[in-house]
Amino acid sequence: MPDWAKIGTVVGSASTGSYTFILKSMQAKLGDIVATRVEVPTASDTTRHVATVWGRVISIDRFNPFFPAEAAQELADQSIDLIDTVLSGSRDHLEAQVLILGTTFDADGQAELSPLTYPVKPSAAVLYPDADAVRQLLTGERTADKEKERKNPKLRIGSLIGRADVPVSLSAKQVVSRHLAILAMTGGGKTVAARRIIRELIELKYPLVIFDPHGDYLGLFEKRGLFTGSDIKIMYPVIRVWETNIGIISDLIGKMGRSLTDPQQQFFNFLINAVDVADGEHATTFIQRLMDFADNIASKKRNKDHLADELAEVRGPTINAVKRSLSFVLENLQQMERNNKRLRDQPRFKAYTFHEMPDPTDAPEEIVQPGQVSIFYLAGYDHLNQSAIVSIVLEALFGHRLTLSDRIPPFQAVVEEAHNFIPSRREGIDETPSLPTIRKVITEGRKFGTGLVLISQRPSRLDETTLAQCNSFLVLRIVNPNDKRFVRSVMENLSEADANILQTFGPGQGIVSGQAVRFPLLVRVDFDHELVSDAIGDEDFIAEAARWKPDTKRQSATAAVQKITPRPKAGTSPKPSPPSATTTGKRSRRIRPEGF
Amino acid sequence: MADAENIRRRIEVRLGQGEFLAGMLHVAARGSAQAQENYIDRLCSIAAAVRTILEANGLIGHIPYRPGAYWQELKGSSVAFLDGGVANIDLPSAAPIGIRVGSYIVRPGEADPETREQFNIELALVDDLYSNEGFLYDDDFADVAKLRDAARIVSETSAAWHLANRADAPDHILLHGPLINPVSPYGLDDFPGYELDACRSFLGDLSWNGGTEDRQFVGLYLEVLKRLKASGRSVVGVVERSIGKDPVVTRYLLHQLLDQSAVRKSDATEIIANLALYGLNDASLFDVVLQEGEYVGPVSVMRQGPENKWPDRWKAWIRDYPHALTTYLKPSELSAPFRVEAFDDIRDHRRALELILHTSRLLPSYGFPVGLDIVDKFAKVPEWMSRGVRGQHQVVLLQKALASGDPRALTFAKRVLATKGRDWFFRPSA
Repeated sequence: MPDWAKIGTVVGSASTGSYTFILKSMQAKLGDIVATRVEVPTASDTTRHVATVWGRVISIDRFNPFFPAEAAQELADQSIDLIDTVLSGSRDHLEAQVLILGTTFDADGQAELSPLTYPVKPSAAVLYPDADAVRQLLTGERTADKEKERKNPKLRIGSLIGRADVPVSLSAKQVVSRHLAILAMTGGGKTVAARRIIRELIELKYPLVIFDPHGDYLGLFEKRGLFTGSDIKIMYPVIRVWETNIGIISDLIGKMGRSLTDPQQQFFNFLINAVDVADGEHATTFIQRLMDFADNIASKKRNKDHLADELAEVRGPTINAVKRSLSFVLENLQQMERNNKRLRDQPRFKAYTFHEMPDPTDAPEEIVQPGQVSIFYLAGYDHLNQSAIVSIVLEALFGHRLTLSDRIPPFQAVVEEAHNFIPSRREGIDETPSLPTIRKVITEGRKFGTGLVLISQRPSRLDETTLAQCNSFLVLRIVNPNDKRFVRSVMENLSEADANILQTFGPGQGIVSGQAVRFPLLVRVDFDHELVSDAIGDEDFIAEAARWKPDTKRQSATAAVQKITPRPKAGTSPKPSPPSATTTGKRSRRIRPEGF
Repeated sequence: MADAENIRRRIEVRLGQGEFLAGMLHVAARGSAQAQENYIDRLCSIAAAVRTILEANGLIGHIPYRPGAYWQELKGSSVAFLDGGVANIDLPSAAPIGIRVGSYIVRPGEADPETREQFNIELALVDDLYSNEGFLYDDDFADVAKLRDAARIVSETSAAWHLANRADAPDHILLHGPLINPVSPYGLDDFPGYELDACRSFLGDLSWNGGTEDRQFVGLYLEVLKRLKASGRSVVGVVERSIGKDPVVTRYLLHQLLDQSAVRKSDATEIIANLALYGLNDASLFDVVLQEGEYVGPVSVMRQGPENKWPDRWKAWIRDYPHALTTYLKPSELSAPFRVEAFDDIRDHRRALELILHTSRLLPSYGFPVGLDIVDKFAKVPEWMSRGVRGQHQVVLLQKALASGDPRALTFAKRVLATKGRDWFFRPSA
């Protein structure tokens, strides 16, 4: 039996799920893995085995029975230090609660964890295992075995909180097949955690597709030199139309446009059905063709040319209304494309290379291949369009996996700001295009090698059904009570004690649980400093405002125009016009200048 | 005039808290109609009179509360607090005794927690008072409670003596309870003496060879007290609650004033009579007489009661008992005064009172030295320990009954130990 330090003694009632022990001062912390030993009966009547019972410290209460509260009040009122008086401050009682994780039987030489079937003994010693023992416990492997590691690769995310010598890793197989959710409030360290996992997957050359609404992962391209043998590609979206996605497109157009009356909707539906889709054409081109077709019909109506029967009742204003709606959608789409381009053209991206998004239906292998990370930069697009893009891409890529066409290998999709792509019904957002797509992937992806990493800072806004399909969770700091409640409802093995510490985590600290680990663990995520982009950082708006200068061309133009008709300076009111020359009191007739 | 108003205010506050109820009932039963009618006024007059007399004769002292400066001045000193705990064991057929005396020694201002605070069990005593092989007493006695009391008293004083006798003895030793206890109740004819080894242990003197009388409680306790007094250390006893009816300290103060001709005998007599009439003891009287931080006297009090009540056998010994320099200190306006006893020759009585005041003010509501509260909690025998001792004795009792082979003894043991009527002990035998 290894000689581990004794740190306390079991007291009170113990069950097969938990126990309490009196902790020696400064010998353990919250989240530590501790052990105790107990004799347990076995199947045989006569034999007993000594089991090592592993547990995690989930709470520590500290009190000093010799320090009365009213003394504390007097110390505060009189500004006296305790050590200057006769008061006692040394007799802290520390009572720690332990959640039992399972047992191992040393005699078997196994690292398999079994449930505890016999309670821990009050008065038993509680021990602090060494780092090696804890590592073995977390990995389930007695010795480092390269062959085993190759067959069962791990994604290192960090170390146990308070024990930097004990690494914490996730099972790569579980993450890529059974999905992972990373949840934390803003500043909790989600992006750092996601980058850590992405980095580990890149090391494995596992194909990654990242949907990046704000550009949080563009820095991976800047630091691509760290990933030898891997290719980091940034893609800007282009919405294309195919026969297979015409439904998404028509929905998108319908949602982006103005609301249509029934006759208008009917005419719109006619247009969608009547205009042939040129597979792969840009949506803007397709919309323009819809408008041209509508123009054609309007012209025929005016000229009273022959029209299809279903158009007999369509009136001119109806056609115009639909055209205006389509024009509105077209302008918006073009504006978003310009926004995205403007963002890409910023000076900080001058060293970056952006690729037009390949057609996921026709050329999926340009998006997904071993050693490649494809980052979809969605900035500049509104939520609806971002959702449509994600839906179109994922639908197509998963479609290839679903048909077992082997056109693309298995891959992992990372969805940032997931609450925008799989919103809860409570959000009152109409059917979001990406919601049914992601639902389908998360339900069936396991069988077809399509995994998801969902990242969100507002868990309570996520679709509960979808989130519950994630088999592993990394939950960092969460303070909002709704979010905490929601997380508890979807994470089956999040105890009340663990839920209570969610708000106390510092940046990068969290709890990982689910099938990717043997049991829930408190973890400190490693921060990959070298992955932090030099070009992209938190904007300094104060400095930017100080630097800002008005556009001199615009200013000089305004100055020139002002000379034509002097305008009152700011802060003064215009002089009242002199009274009219007539004495009748009637208003004089204003002479409108020509041309207006 | 201001004093009288303050006294009235204090009386009214205490009346509101339910104090003086016993006194009021006392007056209702025995007093004149006028006494009943003007209860509060009379109370005020008595208290005001006592205050006037004491104040005029310099018998009311004042300790200012200055925590910021005081605790800095105390740096480098060490203070010990002592208290005893008695196990709660009650068995019909045995008389187990479990006593432990704990100490809390603290060095205010010391930064290192290891050297700043020490908690020790100075003495732990477990014995069976009925056992022939007992360590403590050399015989048994019907009144087990008296045996336990006597053992507790001598244990606590012995622990104080051990501390005072150390080379690194604390600068102040505070006991929880009287410094000098009345001994007559334990001077009964067949009260057993202590075993020689037990005496040596109490005295910390393996060479001691006292005779039979020296080993009796009265003799042994006197010897321990003498040694403690001779050590010259500052040792005081602090009594949390004084429940006796007799206003002993007030009487002694008045006697002292009579000796000095500072007060007429008739006046002193009237005061004592009124105290008796209104059911006032020292604590309740001084509660309304004293202001915050004030103390009376001190006055040397012979703690053994009237001589005519002493057991004849022990009169000479009891006469030898030291007197207790006694005072009542009122730590704050909110809290009742408590009695403080020291040896007559204590070097700096005022310094001891200053320590007691400042440690009491750390419990602003309760108003009692906090170190004694700490050591009381430390030394108290926990219920689980008492249960354990009780359980052990039950096992020993049954084993002895079985070993005796006497069916009647076994039946008796079963009856004693059974908690319910239907129990496997009472299964009918063939």
